Amino acid sequence: MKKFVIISLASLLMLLPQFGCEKYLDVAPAYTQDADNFFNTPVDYQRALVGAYDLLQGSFVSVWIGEIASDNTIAGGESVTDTKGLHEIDNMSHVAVNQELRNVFRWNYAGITRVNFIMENKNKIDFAGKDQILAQASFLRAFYYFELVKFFGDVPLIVDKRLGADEVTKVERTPKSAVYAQIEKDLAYAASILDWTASEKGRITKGAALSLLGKVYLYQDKFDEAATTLQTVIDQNIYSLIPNFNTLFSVANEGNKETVFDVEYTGTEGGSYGCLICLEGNAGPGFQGIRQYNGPIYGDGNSYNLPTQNLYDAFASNDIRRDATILDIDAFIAKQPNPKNITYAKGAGGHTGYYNNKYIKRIGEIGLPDNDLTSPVNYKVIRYADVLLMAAEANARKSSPDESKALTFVNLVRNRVSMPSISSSGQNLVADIWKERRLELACEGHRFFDLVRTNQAAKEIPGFIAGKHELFPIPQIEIDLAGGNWPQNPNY
Amino acid sequence: MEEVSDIINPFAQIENTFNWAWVNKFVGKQELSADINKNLTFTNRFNYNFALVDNKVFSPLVWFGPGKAQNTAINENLDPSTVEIAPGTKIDRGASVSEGRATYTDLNFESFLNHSKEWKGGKKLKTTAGLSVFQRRGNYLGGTAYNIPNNSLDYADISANLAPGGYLNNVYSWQFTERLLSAFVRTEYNLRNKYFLSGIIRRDGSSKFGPNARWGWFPTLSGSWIISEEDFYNISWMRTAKLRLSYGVSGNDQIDNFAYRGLLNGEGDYVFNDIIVKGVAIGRASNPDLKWETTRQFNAGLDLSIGKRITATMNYFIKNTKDLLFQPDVSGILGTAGAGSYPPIINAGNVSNTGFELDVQYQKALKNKWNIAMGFNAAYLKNLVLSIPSGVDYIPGAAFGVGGSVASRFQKGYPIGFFMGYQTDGVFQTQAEIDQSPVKQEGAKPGDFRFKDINGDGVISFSDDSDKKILGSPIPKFTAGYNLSISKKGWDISMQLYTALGQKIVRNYERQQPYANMLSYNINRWTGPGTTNENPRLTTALTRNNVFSDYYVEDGSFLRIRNIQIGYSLKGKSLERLKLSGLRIYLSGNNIYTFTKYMGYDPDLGSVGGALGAGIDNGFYPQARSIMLGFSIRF
Repeated sequence: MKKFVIISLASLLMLLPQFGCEKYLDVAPAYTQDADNFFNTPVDYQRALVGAYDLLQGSFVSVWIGEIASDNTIAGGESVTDTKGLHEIDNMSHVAVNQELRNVFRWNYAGITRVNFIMENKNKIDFAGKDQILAQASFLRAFYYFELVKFFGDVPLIVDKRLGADEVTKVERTPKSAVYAQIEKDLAYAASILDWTASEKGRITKGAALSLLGKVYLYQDKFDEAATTLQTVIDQNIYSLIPNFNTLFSVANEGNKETVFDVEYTGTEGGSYGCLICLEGNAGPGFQGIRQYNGPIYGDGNSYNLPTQNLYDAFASNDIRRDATILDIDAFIAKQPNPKNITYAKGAGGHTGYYNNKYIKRIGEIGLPDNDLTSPVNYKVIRYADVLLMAAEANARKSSPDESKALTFVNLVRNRVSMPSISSSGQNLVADIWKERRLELACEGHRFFDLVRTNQAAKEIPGFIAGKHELFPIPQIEIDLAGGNWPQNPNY
Repeated sequence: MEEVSDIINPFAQIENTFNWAWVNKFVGKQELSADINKNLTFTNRFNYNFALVDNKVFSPLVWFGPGKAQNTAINENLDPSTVEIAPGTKIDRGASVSEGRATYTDLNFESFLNHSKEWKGGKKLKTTAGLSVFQRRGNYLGGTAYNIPNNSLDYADISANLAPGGYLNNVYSWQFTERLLSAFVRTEYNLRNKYFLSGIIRRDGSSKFGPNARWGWFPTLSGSWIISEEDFYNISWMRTAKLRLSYGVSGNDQIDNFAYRGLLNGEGDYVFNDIIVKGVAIGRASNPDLKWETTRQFNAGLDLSIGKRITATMNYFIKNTKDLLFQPDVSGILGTAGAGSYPPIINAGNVSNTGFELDVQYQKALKNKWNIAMGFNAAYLKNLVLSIPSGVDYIPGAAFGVGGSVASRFQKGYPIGFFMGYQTDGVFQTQAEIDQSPVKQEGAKPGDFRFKDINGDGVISFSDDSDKKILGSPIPKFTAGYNLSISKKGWDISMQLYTALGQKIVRNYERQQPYANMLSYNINRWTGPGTTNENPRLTTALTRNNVFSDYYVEDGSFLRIRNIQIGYSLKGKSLERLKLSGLRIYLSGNNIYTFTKYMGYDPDLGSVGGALGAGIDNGFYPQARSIMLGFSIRF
């Protein structure tokens, strides 16, 4: 009898937890939500959209690489080991072990995943304004994929759902034509829904979507489509070139009529090197600032992304864009009232005597510490001058070239800075437009990709090997973590 | 216009760093047991552990020099930066203080029945059945306030802040609850004090796992046999011999809470209308199949006593950990690289540890003569990863340097956290040597390392892993300790030694930037043909010499004198005169000396860096040598 009591008591004790107290272990996280029971109200969609915008602020790395990889700038900085990846890219000796390239790869995919999180739930509820949210999300996804395709070529295309942990090793590199097709689809959708004016500063507009679509067509040499798409933007007459080129990039002049789309930054939140993707400020101006500068107008920075003599000499001496784009530090100091009191240091990673004068730390535009990382200066992804130059190039290169339109557009850009109009034609016109792109958009992150898509890179960039350097290598660690099945880009 | 580096003075940094933590704990236990009858007792226990952890950090305005990233002031006058809170309105952002309090409450209720019974013939059986309920709750409330008056430590408190309108001040909190439910039955059988057998079955459920994987069964079976009690046993010089065997399964659930769910606690902020708008983003990626990590351990042991003075213990064990819990690096396409996002915690694989331990102690105590006790223990360990998640060939571990290189790996067939890198083969002395080399190494210049072409394809690849090989493991193959104590009359001397052999350490604390101090071995760097074949040239230009290679892997074996102590105890008449019942004075030293070839401060990295970052020295703080003089008095 006793044995029976004992055994039954013991078994009861063993089974009690299983049957009675399952709920006791069901602890729910307090005051927070799960990804899987979200999107119940319109506000949920709005908040997730803001989360998807966040990764735009990581685009500063792409802007640096776009210049450093080209003949426009050198890496510079504290030493060659500080940002080894950028120095190797500068030198055209980069390999698949590269921290900066890895950040470009995974930050853009983080943005895509946040968009896909919204898209996964696009049919969950219906409300007025949902299509506006989905349109902005589509633009963002297209933007992130465009970065990836420019850098790496074929990349895995994941659309409208998040990838499960077990699916990662089964995903392949999608051919870039398919990725471009998705980008075009997303941008066309965004353009069809969005308005020409933004509901608040920083939001994506119809003009932004159409201009980016035009650029995407241009990069694929689809000149006819590019010309018509960009013409729609031009015909709308809402953008114009501002008269004073020198004030284009100042914080006081943010959101001016020439800005088609920019990445918003603010200096009101501090930041540190511990988390560069958490920054709400622009890391560019501090990065490109004058090392240990002590003097008027400018602040101090890390002396990276330094313009070359080659770029300086490309400008005509009467082109005001030269000094607006490139700061000749010694000439600047010599012109100040007390030159002896102005000091700066040279970074051991390189020194050319020139600094990026468009995105540079200026007194009065300084954020909270660490203020090398928290500049409030917005980055202009697309400005109207770029739209005009793209339209000019598209019109000059399309199946039946409209050279008068091309000349009109390129001369609008030239006349704005009081440069004389050009009147070339044929291949000379195209070459002049390409040259104008360099002068107008120098130090804004476009040069390398322009050289690659126009097949001039091997000629202009020392060390550039055709058939290899048009694409950057996919970081080896990313290939390994995805199962090791992806072939590397050729010749790396 | 000189060239400078970004390094700041470490003394200045220490002098301007202020943080405190205060911990108050209250621990108690109530027990109520009742004897139901002569065989049965019922015990209930209630344990509580209550801790208050208060912390405070003061961040003064500090200026380390022009252009230094750690400056919080904007100039050497320690002027604060300003924030524009509304168009045209700017306020100062001065020194700040952050304070907070975390409260942890652990409650544990256990209840069990004990039954014991004896039969004729020396049979004893004890059974216990029990239940345990555990809850840990934590919560934190903290705040940060700015503009501490006079930038002074005297006012370092939130109550003293002068931020206008409180505009910059900030409050934050967190909370969590975790729970564990367990039930177990244990029996112990003793036959004639010669044969012992015991078994226990546990069932544990943890709130850390999802509904499908909460519960685990954890049985253990063990037995021992005192061979020396047997009739047939007649080894007179080995008085005691005991054989032990056991096999058991235990579980581990010590990971972050809610790791199986994808919570929206990431960071997704953007700027609209010039103000930061908080959006929402997934924090840690979910893993609904997350489950218990289980370890199966088999142990066989022998306890012996030899002669009158020697005892020895031997153990052989095989320990297999299955479904190892950790958070690996994952592919960027999972999208977990955004702000506040993390890779999922997964059950990452199986690891086995097999080994053999030996412990021998000798003791001789004679009145009025030398008393000696000494002992020696040694362990041999082999660690091997048995399996990793399917689809990947390996999981990368800790980083080397800042350029994206990885030094260690988690890979099947190798020890956990083993090092993988390039192998050097001397230094190129001349350009001719580079040109004539059968292996193409791009960018090599005289004075650079010659790397070995591991895969034999005639090219050194710096992109993929084809020219890398195993460079060692951070896990010692062999550890041993030796202890000795001698006493005679009033004097006593004791000493402890410890040695670990066979492990390697990665030298990862060199920054390799110009205008910074370098380690002294750089005096012997390559400066021209024939100067050295071991150390490469130093240069401020790009070079491949700082990829992860065997040049940065050092032998971490060491022998350390852990402790030496000399003491004197007063005895007899001198003690009585002082009216004390005991007085001992001693001089003791810890970490007296370490014999090692390792160049760094301390080869005993311990578990710094976790499982995959073990053995990688990023410049961790070494163990101190201490000398103590003390006395103990008994009244």
